[in-house]
Amino acid sequence: MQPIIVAENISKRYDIHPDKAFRTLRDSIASVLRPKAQNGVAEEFWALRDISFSVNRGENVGIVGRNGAGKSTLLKIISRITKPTNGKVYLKGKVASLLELGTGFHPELTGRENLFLNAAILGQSRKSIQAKANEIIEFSGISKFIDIPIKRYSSGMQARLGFSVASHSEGEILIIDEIISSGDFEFRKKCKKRIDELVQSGRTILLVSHNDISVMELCSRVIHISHGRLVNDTKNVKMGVKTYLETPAGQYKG
Amino acid sequence: MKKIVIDAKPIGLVETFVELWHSREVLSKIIKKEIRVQYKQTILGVLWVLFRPLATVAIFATIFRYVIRFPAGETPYAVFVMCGIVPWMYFAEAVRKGSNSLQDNAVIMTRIYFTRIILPISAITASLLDLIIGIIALLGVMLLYGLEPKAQILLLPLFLLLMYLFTFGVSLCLSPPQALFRDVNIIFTFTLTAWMYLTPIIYPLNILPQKLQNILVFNPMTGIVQAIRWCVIGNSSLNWHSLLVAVAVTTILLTIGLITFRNLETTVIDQV
Repeated sequence: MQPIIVAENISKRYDIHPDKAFRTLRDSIASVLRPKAQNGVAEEFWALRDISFSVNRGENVGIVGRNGAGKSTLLKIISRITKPTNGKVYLKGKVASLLELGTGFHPELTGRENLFLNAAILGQSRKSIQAKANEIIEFSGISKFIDIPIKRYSSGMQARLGFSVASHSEGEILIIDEIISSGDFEFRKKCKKRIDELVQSGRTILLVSHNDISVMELCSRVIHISHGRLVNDTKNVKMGVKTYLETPAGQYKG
Repeated sequence: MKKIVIDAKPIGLVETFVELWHSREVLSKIIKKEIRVQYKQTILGVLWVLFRPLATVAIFATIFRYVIRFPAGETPYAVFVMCGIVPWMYFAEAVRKGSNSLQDNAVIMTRIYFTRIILPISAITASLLDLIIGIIALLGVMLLYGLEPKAQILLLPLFLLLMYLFTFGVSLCLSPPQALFRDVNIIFTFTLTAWMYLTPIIYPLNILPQKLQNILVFNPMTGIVQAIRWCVIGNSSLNWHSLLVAVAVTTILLTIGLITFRNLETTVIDQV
């Protein structure tokens, strides 16, 4: 089997400024002028430390971990949104990422306008979007509201549209973060079916969830991240999830 | 399939432009989005595109025709001032949107990957619609005064392109710092007001003392506005000196801007 994603020792560092929510120009100038001044000191936070793994074409990997474990940072690096501080990721396919609610949705545009914009950003040609538009709208189950601005949508409706667009894209690697958990029971069932279809068609999927463990039933492999480190990588999905659930809850730490 | 490598290094310049070419469809969609969003939930809708530049020009023309009188030679003052105001309005609006573009699109940027340079480009390109309408209005006003454009009007697109590139350079330099420090926006807002009065828009350059003229020539917008005025009215000679300054500054700004943007891109994503 040929790996489609290879992550080599990736680490990601964020600087936290403990006493400020926003930086102002003055703070930066001050910290340049007086590097050791106590109010400008940034605290380091390693969201990811030395993560290495490789995913084969057609694999369906679930990523588990508590809030703040580094799951989203990992997905952001793989989907090229941010860059790792150290290490490298090699991708051999087009990525379609669906991070959090309503990826790339502009509140003032209608559902249909967002669909076209979003699909274009995911790398689809105008022709293929037009051909698929009806299917996508049909799948989302919100055809009645497709021509009103997204800002009037509920979070569930946005998630439905978001999942529909991404799951109909031509990306070879599909990254899905928490999106399914905001849909209702019926839609979740539909999503699972769709994910299953995509896996059958040979697509590679990375799936993140911390509150809907049942989604993990779809996966053939589980990666467990804790405090930015990879603690478990197993094909025994049941055991992997069980170990994760039984790990005692910890504090956020750097 | 090409292999993609993700590491700590910023994306290369050539790669940026290759990606930009591949995402031209996204770019055109985002430009359309910018235009549409601007007039969403307005009753007049796209009619505002026509009304806004015309109304602003009418205000300026009236104030400076009747309140403060500047000698504009044989040229009717309304035509004279429009030649400066129409390009300036584009510059001010496009730079404002361009430098805010990263901050305004923070949500999209942190959720999905695309070549980020699309954001300032689409912001300054969407504003071109207002500029084109303004130019058409300007030509209309000229005809009302019985003035006919001369042959050098054909060079106008060239100077508008220079202004577009200058605007792009300023936006590239300002958008990452603006997303990181909100101060930039505040500083820039009043700088823009001062800048406008330091550009020969409402007054002819030659009414100033020679010393001041020599300083104003180093303002790239002086060269651009003077060149546009020469194209449209065409009864003075082209000021080569100020035009060359504008070309040189634009080149330098574009270079600095591309480097700044490329190096700060990831910092912006991590901190907005």
